[in-house]
This record gives sequence, structure tokens and C-alpha cells, in this order.
Amino acid sequence: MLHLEHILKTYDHTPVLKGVSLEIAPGEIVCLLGPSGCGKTTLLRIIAGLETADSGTVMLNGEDITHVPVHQRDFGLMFQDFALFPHMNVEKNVAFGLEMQHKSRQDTRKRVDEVLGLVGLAPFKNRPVTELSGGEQQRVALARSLAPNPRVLMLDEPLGSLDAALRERLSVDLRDILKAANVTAIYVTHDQQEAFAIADRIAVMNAGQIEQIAPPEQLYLCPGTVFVARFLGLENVIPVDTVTQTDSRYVAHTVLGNFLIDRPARHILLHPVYASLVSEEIEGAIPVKLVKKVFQGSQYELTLQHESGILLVVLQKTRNLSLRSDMRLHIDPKGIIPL
Amino acid sequence: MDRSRTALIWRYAGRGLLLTPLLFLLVFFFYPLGSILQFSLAPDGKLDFAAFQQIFSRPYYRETLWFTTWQAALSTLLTLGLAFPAAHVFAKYQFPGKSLLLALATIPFVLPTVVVATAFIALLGEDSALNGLLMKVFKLEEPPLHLERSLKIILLAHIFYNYAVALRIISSFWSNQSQRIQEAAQMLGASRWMVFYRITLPLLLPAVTAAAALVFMFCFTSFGVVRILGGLKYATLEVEIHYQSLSLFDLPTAGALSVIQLMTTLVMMIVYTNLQRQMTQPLNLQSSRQVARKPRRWAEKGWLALNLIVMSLLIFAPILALIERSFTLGDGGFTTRYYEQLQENPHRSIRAVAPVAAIQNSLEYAFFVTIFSVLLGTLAAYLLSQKTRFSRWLDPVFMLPLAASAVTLGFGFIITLDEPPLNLRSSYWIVPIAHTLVAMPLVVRSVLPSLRAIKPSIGEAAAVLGASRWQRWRRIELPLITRSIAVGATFAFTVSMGEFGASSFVARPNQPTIPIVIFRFLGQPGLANYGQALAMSVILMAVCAAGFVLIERLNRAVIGEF
Repeated sequence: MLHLEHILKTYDHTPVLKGVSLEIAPGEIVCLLGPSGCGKTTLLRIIAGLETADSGTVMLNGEDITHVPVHQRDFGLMFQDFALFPHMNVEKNVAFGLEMQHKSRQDTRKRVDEVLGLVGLAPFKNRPVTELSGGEQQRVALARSLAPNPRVLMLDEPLGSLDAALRERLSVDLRDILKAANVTAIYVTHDQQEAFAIADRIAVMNAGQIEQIAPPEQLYLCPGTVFVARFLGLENVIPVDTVTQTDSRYVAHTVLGNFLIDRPARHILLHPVYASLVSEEIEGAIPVKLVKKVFQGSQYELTLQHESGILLVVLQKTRNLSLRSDMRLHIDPKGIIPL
Repeated sequence: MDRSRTALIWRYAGRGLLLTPLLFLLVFFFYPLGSILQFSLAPDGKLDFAAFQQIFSRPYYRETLWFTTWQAALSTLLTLGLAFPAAHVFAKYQFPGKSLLLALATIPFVLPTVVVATAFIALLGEDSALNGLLMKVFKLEEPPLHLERSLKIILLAHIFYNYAVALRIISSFWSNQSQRIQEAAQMLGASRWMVFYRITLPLLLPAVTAAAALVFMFCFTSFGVVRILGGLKYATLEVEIHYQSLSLFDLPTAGALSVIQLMTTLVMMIVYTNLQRQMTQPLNLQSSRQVARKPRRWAEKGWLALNLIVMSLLIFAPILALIERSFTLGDGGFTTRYYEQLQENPHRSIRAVAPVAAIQNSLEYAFFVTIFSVLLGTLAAYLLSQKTRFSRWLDPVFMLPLAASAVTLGFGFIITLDEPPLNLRSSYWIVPIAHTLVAMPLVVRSVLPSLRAIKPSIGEAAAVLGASRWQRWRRIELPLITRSIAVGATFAFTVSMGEFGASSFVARPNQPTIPIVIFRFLGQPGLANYGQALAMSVILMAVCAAGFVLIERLNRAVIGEF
């Protein structure tokens, strides 16, 4: 439906977007995930038409809309600071886009009630927006951008200015609302938990490029690059010294031992989800000592040290572990990921 | 036990100290004001509306009233008409020399009225360089421009004066308006014009109205500009009050006119302060640096250039004309003789002092005014920064001397401070006291925001670390407000140097200030007198400009408050 091709953008001689291409299906929610400064907001603003790309095209349903002005795109954008119109009440804010479409007063009122109901703010209709709490303002902003039935809805860190507890609850609500409205959405965030909760697919961005695009589970279980792994908090990235080929497979030689991988790589990730501590001798198990144990409620985060000094982090549910030096770490073959 | 009693005594002493500015206002502002009321409403002890009836029934006064109102309205309209587009340019575009230009544009605001009036005579009067040029180019026998004593020159001077005030208020508010809000409207399908009409303009309205109220107030109470540029033909209320009281000694009429003037400015002041409070409600405000950008398209560049040209012409033409005339008046080409004459004792004058003595008088007065207003103004700011209902109510009270025009203050002084125990009529101190009344509110306005900006937690942190009340003040608070005090002090000094309205009532004839000497020169015939008025104006302008540069360097933000 929405198709970006080779979008380039430079600010003051610094490249911000280095040729980004992306394809989004109707009704899909795609998250642009990345650290600040990776270009995700700029990409969003180019799609919205608030910025112009130096080169590249934005296509919507096969139509080139690269040079269509913002207000004629029928897109929606929800801003991080919500950008509510402070001189209008909730109802007027939500009705603004419908008025711009010259909808009849009756239709406008009906649609406003509808979306306010969808976000659960129907009783707040006549309140000044300045008197709402952060969470309520967020819902007004969402209702306002949904009201005119945008062809694509973009959300720029819409939960960024809320506190952690509220953020967690609202991100689940947000997915439900977006799915109920059956809207094609692009969601920008730097918070992986938020992205996991909301997205159908996540595009991880780094330094003006998309590193990997995949559904949340696949992204987490099988990150494609060192950056993606590290950004998702997967720290067990081990440099590979040499790679040798045996039959159709490859062997990565590292300080922790040799690991079988299915393609040559310069790093391997030992995924904590597939790691387990074992007591008996198993072939390929890595001798480690437990140096730190952090209680996280449902599980423990264990920091293990190999004799080479390399630290590995794994998650375990086992409760009765003490800091000992003679432990062994076993990694399921599925958890050895070439990067 | 003993310690707590000492603490209690200190606390009461502190409270007492905080009340001195209020006492000062009571004696030197409200008491004279009360007398004016009494003169106008009950000249013989009985309630008597004769003075008011006379004002509203006699065509002469009705005309004065009408003229005062419509010239102020027209000046306001013209000022905003020019300043609004410029405010757009300053809020939205980044261009080289922007902050310097904005600083220069504010110079007129600190220029004394007599200087501005003189500058406009130098620019557009009969002897102006512009006339000379036009005569040469079009080979005319007579100077084509006769703008002295015309309404046009009064309006121009008012625009010159207030342009930067409106520009600053509107553009600073505009530049803080979040770009996101406009983008949000665009995303919802609003065209550029729609965004301006439905979003930008309504959100700017408080700033525009506040600017209008302030400019109207300044123009309504215009004295020096109208007195010098209007001649006998045009008189505002202020000029009329001066005339009625000092020339006709008709105190009831002057009093009644003062009351009408006071009521009008009071309404404007209330409108202004209310809107200003609205404007400080932070709503999606963002740093102005994010909003301003370089002009990109040719239309944008042209718009920017047009505004900058209008602005430069308006601001620099009179200033440059004043300087140019002061060195070239007469037929001899470049000359410094008018500056040299300032040191000579003009034997034909009864008041036998060299004009240069006025400079010393003004400096002396300004020195005392600075000290008085910093002390009283800072104390008042402390009083107002307390979060009690009493101080919230007091806030506008301390702004009142700004609303009451200088002429009303001066008039109040001469009718009240002439008998014991307050027989100050011929005292040296009457001028510094009158000036302090005008300058103190400026110090309050400078210091109060930074005092309010000090978070209570900072003081608490210091207290927990063992600092006493005095140490907290000396080591924490004072360093945080020093800059604003310095800004206020410079304001006070500059205002005192240029004050004309009150001084023209209370200054002793043998100790005139610079503005009074300039006015006297302008009233006397001959090139020599005119030349000396120009020279004196240039000197006064230099002093005020220097003060202004200091204020700008100390704190760019404070001026945005007015």
C-alpha cells in the first residue's frame, strides 16, 4: 500500500537518511525502532510531507505522492507532545480535521462522538484540553488524528512523554484501538517493549538505514545484525576469530570454543533464551563462574564470567543458585546466531 | 526559647523592611493622587462635579479628549500594522544580524521623548537634510516637507517609539509557539492560510491584544512628543493637564482631566496584565531556536527583505538624521560648534547656567534615582514574590505609577508636597523622588521574574546543608538575582536621564535636567538654539543607548517582559 523507495535526506552536509526503502501492507502496524538520532522521526516527517526528501519516492497505492503538500495527503500524525490546539476544547480539537474536509455538521458530530467513544473519552467532550492529564491528552490526540479516517496514521513516540506504568498500559490499549479502527499505521519509538506490544512488524533503524525488518518475535529470537542484537538488550555477542567450512556448515572459532553456524559471520550471538546452566559434563558446554545475580521478580538475571574474562548474561528461573565458580553453560544450537 | 525570640524579632524586622516600598508609594503616589481626586471632585470640600461637567460639555475639552483617543487608536493600529509582519519575520526566520537588529530596534523605547521629537524635527522639519536633498534633486525653491506641527509627524514618532515594543511582545510569543501545533493542523488537512486563520492567529491574539493595550496606553499618555511636535495645534490630555495647571492654574479642571486619563490607562493596564498572565501559561511552548529557520524560497527572502527595509528606515532614519543635523546645521558644512556652545554661559538667558550644567544635574539625579529604585524595587519584588493573597493583590498596585502618567505624578507633587511636613516644593530631592516613582516599577518588573524563578528547593537544599537565612540570601538568592537587579538599575538610570513629564513640573528652574534644557532650546528661535538642542539630544541619546546596550548584554529576556 505505502511504498518508500530509496529515501535520501541530508541536513547541513550530514546524511540523516541513507537510502531507505520500505513497503507497508494495508492495515499493518509497522514500528520504526531505533536510538535517538537514527533518522526515524525524519523518515516519518518525510512520509507525512512535513519534510521533503533530497531524493527517493513515496508511493501510495501505486500513486507517486512525493510532492503532494501535507494538507492534501489525508494522512494522520500524532505528535510526541500531542500538539493539541490549546484554544479549543476536546470536541473542537477532534472535529478540526473533519471541518477541513468540509463535512456536514451532523456527520462531524457523529464521527467525533464515535472516535471519542473509541478512545474512551466521550464524557470529556466539552473539557478544555489544557485541563486534561497526560494520558487523557494522549487519547484526544489519537482521536483527533483518527477522526478524518486517514489513509495512513503515523505516531511519533506517542507515549514518550508519559510515565512508565501508564506507557505500558496504554501501549496495549493503543494496539487494540488501532486494530479496531483498521488503520494502516507507522509507529515511531525508541522503546523496544512498546514496539513489541504494538507492531505487526518492526523496522530497526540505525544511522539512517533500516538494519532489519521483521515481526517482533522473529526479530527478538533471531536478530540479524550486531546492532540489532545489542539494541534489543542481547549482550552475549562474541567476536569470531576464524571460520572454517565443513560440508554444508561452518564452524566459528571463538575464545569460548567452537560453534556450528549455517553461514560465515564475524560475530555470533549466544541467545539467553536458549541458554541453560547444567551441572554434568555436556559436550560444548562453556565453563563459567557466576559473578552476579539480580532478582527480577519472575526470574534472575545471571552474569557469568568465562576464564577469558568475557561476561555472559542469561536469565534463569531457578531459585537456589549461589555464587559459585564451577558452572557450565549450555547453549541450544537454535540459540547460536551468526551476525 | 531565647533563640526563637530572636528569630521572631528578625522576622518582624524583615517584614517591616519589606513594607517600606509600600510606604513610599503611599506618601509619594497615593497621597498626591488622592489630592488630585479631591481637587477634581470636591475643590471646596463638597462633592462637586462641575469640573467634569465642564469637560464633557465644552467642545474644546471634548475635542481634546476625542483627539487624544483617536490619535492613540490610530497610532496603535499603524504600529501593529507594521510590527505584526516584522514579528512574523523575526519569529520564523533565521538570518545574519538578527539579534543585533532586534536589539537596535529596541533603542527607541529607551530614548527620551524630547530626543525622539527632536530627531523627527531633524528628519522631517524644514531644515532637514531630507528637505535639502529634495530641493536639490527637484530644483525647488522652497523646502517641500512641512511636517512640523502636523499630525503625521506625531503619528510617525509614536510608531517609532512603540514599534519595537509591539515587535518584541508579538515575536517572542510567536517564536515560542510550537511548530507542532501548526503541523498537526496541516496534517489534518488545513492549508497554510487555514492554519494561520484558525490556529496561529487565535493563539497569537493575547499577545497582539496585550501589545495593543500597551501601545495605546503609551500613545494616550503621550506628552513630550505631542508637546514638542504638536505645537499649539494638537494637544493630548497630558498636554492639556500641563497647560491647565501651570499656565491657567485651573486645578479642578486639571484634576478632572487627570482622573479621566488615569481611568483610561488603568483599564489598559488591567487588560495588559491579565493578558500577560495568560501568555505565560506554558502550553506546548518550545525553544524559539527550533522554530526559526533560514528563508528558503524567493518569496520568503523578499518578504524578509521588505520587512527589514521598512524596519531600518523607521528606526535608523530619525536617529541618523539627528546625529547628522547636530554636526551640519547651518551653511558651514561639518561643525562641532553646537557642542562647544553647550559649555558657554548664554548671557542673554536669565537662567544663567551653561547648558552643560544640566548634564551634571541629570547625572546626579540619575545616580540617586538608581540607588533609591534598586533598594525599593528589590524590596518590593521580595514582597510581591511571597505567595500570599496580599501580595497577589499588591502586584498591580506596584504597576500603578507606570499607568499614571508622569504629568499626573508631577501635577500631584506640586499640589501636595508644598506644605510641612512634606514641603519638598523647592527641595533638591523632589526630582529624584518623582523619577524613582517612575523607575521603581521597572526594577520590580526586572527582579520579580528571576525571584519567582528560584525554586524553593534550592533554598531548602542550602538550609539542609547548614546555611542560615542570611547565608542563604547572600550565597544563593543574591547571586541568582544580581543580573536582574543590574538590569533594573540600568533601566532606572536611563529612565531618570530621559524623564520629561514629571520633571517639567517639579524641576527647579535653576537646576534643569537635560530634557528640560532641550525643550527650552527648541522653544527659542534661531539656528544656534536649535543646534544646541540637537547636540544635547545626541548626548542624551548616547547615554541612553549606552544604558540600553548594557541592559541587552546583562539580560536579553527581561525586556521581553514589557
